[in-house]
Amino acid sequence: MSYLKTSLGALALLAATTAHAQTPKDTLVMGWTLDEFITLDPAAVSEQVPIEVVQNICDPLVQMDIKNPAAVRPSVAESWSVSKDGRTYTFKIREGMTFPSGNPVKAEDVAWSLRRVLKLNLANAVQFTEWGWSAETADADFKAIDDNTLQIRTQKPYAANLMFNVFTKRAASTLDRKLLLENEVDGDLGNKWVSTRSACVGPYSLQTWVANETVVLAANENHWAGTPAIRRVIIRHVPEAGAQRLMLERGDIDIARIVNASDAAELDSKDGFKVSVTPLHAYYYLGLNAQDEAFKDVRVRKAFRYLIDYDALQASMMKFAGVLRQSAVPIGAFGALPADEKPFSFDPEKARSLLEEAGFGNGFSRTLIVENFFPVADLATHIQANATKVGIDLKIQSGAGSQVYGQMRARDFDLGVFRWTTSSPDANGMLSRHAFNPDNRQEAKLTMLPAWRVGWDTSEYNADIEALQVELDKSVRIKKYQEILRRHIQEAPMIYMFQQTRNMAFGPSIKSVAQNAFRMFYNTAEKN
Amino acid sequence: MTTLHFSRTGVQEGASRAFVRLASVLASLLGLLALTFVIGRLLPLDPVAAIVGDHASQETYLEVERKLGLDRPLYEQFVSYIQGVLQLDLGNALYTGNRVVDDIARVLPATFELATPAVIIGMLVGVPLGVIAAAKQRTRTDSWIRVLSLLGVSIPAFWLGMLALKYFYFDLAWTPGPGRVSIYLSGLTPYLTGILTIDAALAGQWDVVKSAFEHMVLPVVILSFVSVAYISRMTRSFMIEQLSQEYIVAARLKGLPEMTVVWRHAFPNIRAQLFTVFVLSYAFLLEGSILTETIFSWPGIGRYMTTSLLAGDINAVLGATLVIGLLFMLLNQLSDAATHLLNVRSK
Repeated sequence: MSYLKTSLGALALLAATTAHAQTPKDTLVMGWTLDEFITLDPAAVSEQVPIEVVQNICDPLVQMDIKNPAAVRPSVAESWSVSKDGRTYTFKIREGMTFPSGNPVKAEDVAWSLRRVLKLNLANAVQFTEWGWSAETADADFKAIDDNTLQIRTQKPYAANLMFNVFTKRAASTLDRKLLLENEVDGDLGNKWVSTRSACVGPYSLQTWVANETVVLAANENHWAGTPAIRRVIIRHVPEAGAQRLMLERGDIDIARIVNASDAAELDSKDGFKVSVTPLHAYYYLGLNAQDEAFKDVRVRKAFRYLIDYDALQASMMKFAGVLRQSAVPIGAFGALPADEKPFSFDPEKARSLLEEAGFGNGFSRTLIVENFFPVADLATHIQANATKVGIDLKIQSGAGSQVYGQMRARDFDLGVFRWTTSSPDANGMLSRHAFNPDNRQEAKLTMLPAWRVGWDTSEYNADIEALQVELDKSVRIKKYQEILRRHIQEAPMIYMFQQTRNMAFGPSIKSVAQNAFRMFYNTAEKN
Repeated sequence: MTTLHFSRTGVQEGASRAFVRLASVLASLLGLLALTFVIGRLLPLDPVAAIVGDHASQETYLEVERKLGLDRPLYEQFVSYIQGVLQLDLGNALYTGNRVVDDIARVLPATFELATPAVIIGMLVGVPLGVIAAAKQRTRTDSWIRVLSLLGVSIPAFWLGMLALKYFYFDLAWTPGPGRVSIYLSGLTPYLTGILTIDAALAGQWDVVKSAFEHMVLPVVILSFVSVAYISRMTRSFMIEQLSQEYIVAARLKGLPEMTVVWRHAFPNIRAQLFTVFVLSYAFLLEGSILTETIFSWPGIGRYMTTSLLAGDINAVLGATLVIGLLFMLLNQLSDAATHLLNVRSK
């Protein structure tokens, strides 16, 4: 008995010593999931977590403004000029920069890194090939004029906004050419080597990566913007939201990156804790197959716009999961409609009369496909419930992502709740996919275009979308995009409901950290 | 017919039995491969879409499909898969970008590290409980033990895990939080066996060893609770069967103390069956528990298989299934051999 007492006493003592866990002041510790972590090569990285890591270890040629992603700020390039014909961009590369290896950064490193993306032709090459650049044109289009001058030639006189968007992307990172070439295997330009390492100009370097356990970044002493106050960033694999919450409240992590909608409300009201909800340039939308007998009628599509109770959803289950948005270009993007322009609201009577007008007064039944998780599955249930009010019987068929999108790409569906993310804070980013479809035939297989996937003939839009890419007058672009959006919102077989959000919970140790729709800036984190 | 020729001497008999065993293991493995392969290909998952993502063009899609060989007829894909397996090449995992063999070499030891102590505790606690329950059949002790074992089988591991974390980590701070080792010690240990406690000990990193052991406590206790439930239930029913045999009645009539009757007379006769139960529990734990591994952020094979399956990563699923199947078969053979030996001895 006395032994039991002693050991309980010892345990209590142990508890007392560890009860007030706190992370070191110069270290940022986040709980996240590291299940999907394939590569850190900026030319290939395309999963959520590694993308954010790359964004924090590799500076792009120029960077987007934190508050206004459509504006551009200096980065690896400290200044630039654009030729009158809009086809030649000259960048002054910041002097005196070095890679973490100690190698100096020259304009040729920047040019080589850009050409490398095209030559490797991996996942992110599309960020360049979309604008006509190719492995063949790369050598002539991306050139170092001298040690500090980079010249880029574009294929067409595209609007400067669009080109600068490309130069802010992860594919436009500057890699340590010398180091990568020393570690090249079978002409892979260092792809294999750099997939688990970092060799970039950036505020942090990868220090440790233990698969499915931990990623540790260490601050670079010689970064051009100064050494970040946060010297170490640790991402801990904690896939369970409940477990993350416990760790956050115990002070073992500073930020929980996975927050349940139910936990979010509770944590947000707790003293010292804060939940941030950042709208992303990404959507939850209802896609109707325009090849379908019912959905080819614009009135039926419009009826569905009145079948969604946007406000009720926003106030309840979407409170921490999305931001209401009915038009195709996200809030904050260049050319977007004002945030308060929301022409549709829940109105089953209007929906019914539109259906009657279209000859579907007796309703119909269709199958709605959706991925099997929150909130898309829940949005599908909401739509199903409201559709019954006008006699439409929707059968929900849910499945894994690759299954749902496989069906969508094959146009083998009636309607579905889908997700889409654009990487460009410019109206063109969404419209060139959601209002552009140059060939609507089944055999054209333009599967990368959602407009094609929903079988929508966009011939009334195509010419405008293409013309606006080479329109150099900013105000004309804004005006025209808004006109397009106002038409699109009335007739497109895509019904936008919410912008996706990035939610995270901060513990009392965090004073602030900057983030926008595209990324989080670890080097801006401040701790209490 | 060949077995007849071999059955002349004991040695030949042994060799022939080994041969038959090996053949049956190989046949089962082939069957397992064929089955998982067909199921993998019939599932409405699209591994190409899982790789190229949602924004890729049809050309990229077709190119990747060709590279993966998924455009070839099913039997050709199966033959080349078997060829790969024979060279220990299970292909690449889409979700991690690694070779499946390397992934398994990483996640299996992590599961092993939890399963081994869990099954040992399961036996050490479960067997005595089962024996006591049987010896005191229909008493209050028996009822308590049976309730405990019922709880172990029926309480969801997810709930139990969260509850344990809430009390022992969050409220009392007796154990560290989720994960395999302290955040600040992660990644310091060179990979040798993949079993962190052993690798760290070999490297002389005693702070890592200590931290790793502390992190093992909660998940091991949860897993062993489930084992205890199963093992005590099985032990109880084996023992009840033995205790009703005539030789036990005879022993009792001779006036032997009950302890001697139970432990010296009845218990040795259930050893062979218990070994089978041990092997089954161990094999079950080595499959990995998705729920326990998820809650405790344990990078084991259970979570690996599940995330791969949800991502449509067929290579990873096939590889992991194959390895687990192989483990099951080996343990089964071991159990057969042990049963044979123990039975021979008990004769």
